[in-house]
Amino acid sequence: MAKRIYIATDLPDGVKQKFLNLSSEVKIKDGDGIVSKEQLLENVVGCHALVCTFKDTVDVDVLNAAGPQLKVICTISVGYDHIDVAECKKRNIMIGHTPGVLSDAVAELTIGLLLTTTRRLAEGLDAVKRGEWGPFSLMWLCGTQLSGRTIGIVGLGKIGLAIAERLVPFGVGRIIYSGRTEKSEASKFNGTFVDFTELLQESDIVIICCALTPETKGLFNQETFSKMKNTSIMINISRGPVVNQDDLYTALTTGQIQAAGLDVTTPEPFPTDHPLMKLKNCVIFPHIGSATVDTRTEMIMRSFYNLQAGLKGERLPFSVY
Amino acid sequence: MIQCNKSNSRVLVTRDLPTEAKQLLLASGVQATIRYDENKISKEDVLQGITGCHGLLCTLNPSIDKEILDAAGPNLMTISTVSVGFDHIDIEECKRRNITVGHTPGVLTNAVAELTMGLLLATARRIREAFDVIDSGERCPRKVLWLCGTQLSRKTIGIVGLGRIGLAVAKRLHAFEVDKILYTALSEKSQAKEVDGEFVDFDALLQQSDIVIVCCALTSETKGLFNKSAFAAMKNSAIFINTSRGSVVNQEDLYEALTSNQIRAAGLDVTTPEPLPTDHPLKKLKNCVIFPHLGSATIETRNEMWTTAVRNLIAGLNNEPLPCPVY
Repeated sequence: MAKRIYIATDLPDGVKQKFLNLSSEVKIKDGDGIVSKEQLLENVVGCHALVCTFKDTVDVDVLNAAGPQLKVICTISVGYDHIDVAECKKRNIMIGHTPGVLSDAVAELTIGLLLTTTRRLAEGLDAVKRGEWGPFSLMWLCGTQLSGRTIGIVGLGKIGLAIAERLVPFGVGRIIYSGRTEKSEASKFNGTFVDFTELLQESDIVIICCALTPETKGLFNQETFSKMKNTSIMINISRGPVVNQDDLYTALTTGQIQAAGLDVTTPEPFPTDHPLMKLKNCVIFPHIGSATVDTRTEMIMRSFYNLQAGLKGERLPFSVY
Repeated sequence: MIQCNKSNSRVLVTRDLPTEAKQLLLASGVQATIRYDENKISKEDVLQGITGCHGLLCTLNPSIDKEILDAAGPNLMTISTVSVGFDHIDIEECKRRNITVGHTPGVLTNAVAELTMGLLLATARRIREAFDVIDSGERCPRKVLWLCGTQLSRKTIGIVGLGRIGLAVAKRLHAFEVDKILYTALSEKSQAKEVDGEFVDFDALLQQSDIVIVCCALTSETKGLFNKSAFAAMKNSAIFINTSRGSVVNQEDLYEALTSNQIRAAGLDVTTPEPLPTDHPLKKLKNCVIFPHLGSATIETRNEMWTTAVRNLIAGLNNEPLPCPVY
C-alpha cells in the first residue's frame, strides 16, 4: 500500500521531485494563502506522514483526523511548540525538525535586527522615503554604538552561541548568558554564566534566544522590564509569547528600556494598528530569521531526510525526542 | 582643557557643536562665531562669515574651494573638518597658502564599520521589503522561499580599499563564517593577515565576489570607479555596498545594473547629491536600500569627532602640530 504524504507548504522546484519520488500518494499544497485548520484536518486523513511548518498547529484534533497510521511528522523549523509532543509520544509518532542548519541565517538576521534598532535604521529608511533628509543637525538620527556594551544572551543554544561569536569583533564588552545550565561553548567568546536577574541588571543589550516552553512563556513582563537598564535594548528572535507585549509597550513608552527589536510577535502577521507598531523605538520584522534561500533549501532537505527515514520506520536523523 | 595662544583668534564654526566640544572650544579663548541655524549652511553664508577668520571648523558642506579661501583672506591659518574624508576641501590650494588642515580619522572607524554591517544585512535580508510588508499588514503568502534573502556564510567578500574602515568591516565579517575575504588597495596590507585577506586586482575582485563593499577614499582615481563595465564584471547574484562617497559610483549605471539583473541588490549610505531628490529613480527600486549618510552617526562618535576637530583647530591656531593632520 502506498504511503500517503501531505506536505502543508509549497516546495521550490529544485527539490519538489525528490518528495514526489517517495510515494505515489504525495499531496503538496500549492498556491498562496495560509493552510487553514479545516484544510489541514481534511488533508491529513489517512496520512502516514505530514510535512509542515511552524505555522501549522498539530494538535489532538489533527492527530485524530489523520488516524492511527500516522507515523511521522516533519516540521520545517527548529521550534516545535506548535506540535503536541506529549500526544505524539503516546501514539508513537516520530517528530523530525531542523536544528543546527538555520543558526547562521538566524544569527545574521539577529545582528541585522540589532543594528537596525541601535542605529535607528528604520527611521533612516523612512527619512529617505519621505525626502525628510536633513536638517543637518549634527546629532540627527544618531544611534548608540555596540563598542564596550555588555551583551546578555538569554538561552545559549546553537543560535545564542552563533550570535555571541559574531558580536565579538564589534568590540562589545562582556558577553553574559543565562539558562538552565552552564555551557562549555561559552569559552569560545569568554562568556560568563549568570542568573537571569543579574543578566537583566547588567546588560546594555538583551537578546532572547531561548525556546518557547511553559517556563519561558511571558518571561519578559513588567517585573522583568523594571529590572533592566533604562538605556537597554531588547531583541527577541525566539517566539512572540516569550514577551508580554502590553508590558513591553509600557516599558518602551515610560522609559523603562530604550528600544526593542522583534522578529517574532503575537500574533503573526502583526496587525497594522497594534500600539507597538506606532513606536519609533520598536523595530518589527515579519519573522524572517531563517529566510535565506540557502537555509530554507537546507531545511527542506533535512525534512526530506527525516521523512525518508520515518517512512521506513527508521530513527530520524534530526529527531525531536 | 586647551588654550589658544593668540587671544584675538577668530573662528567660524559652520554647525552647532555638542556640549563637550563646545565647552572645549569656548574655554580655549577663541572668538567663535557659531552657526546655530538648523538649516544647511550655504556657500554664501560661509563666504560672508569667513572674512578675516584665522580658523574654520567645518563639516562636509559646503565644499571649501578657492573662492572661500579668497574670501577668508590672508589671516586664515587652519581648517578643521569634522569628518575623515577631505575630498570637499581644495587641499592643493591649502598647501599653497600654508593653511594646515585637520580631520578625524580613526575615531569614527567602529561606528562606520558597524553601520556598513547594518547596511549589508539590511540589503542582503531585504529589510526594506520586510518593512513594506509589516506596514501594509500583508499576509505572508505561505511560500517557503517568501522574502528569502542572501546568507553571508560561505560567501566571498570583496573589499575595495582596505584602510582602517575596510579592515574593521573585514574583521566583523570574518566572524560570519564567510568563505574568503578579497581586497584591493594601492598596495598589499600586512593587517590583512588578521582576516586571512587575499590581495587581488580590481577585476578579479569584481568577478569572484558575492558581496562587494566599497571602503576607499574618493580621489581622482576612484571617482566613477563603479560604472557600467564594473557592474558588468560582477556576478548577477552580487550585492553591492557603498559607504565611502557617492561619487565613486555612477548612479545611472547602477540603476541600469539593478533593473537588468546585472547585480542582485545595492545598499548605499552615500549618494550624489545628499540628500537624494525625492523622485530619484534609485529610490523606487525594491533592491536598492538607501540610508541618509548615517555612517558615523552615533552619539559617542560624533562627540569624539567634534572634540578631535576642536583640538585640531586650536593646535592649528597655535601653530603646533595637529593631532590629526591631513598632510
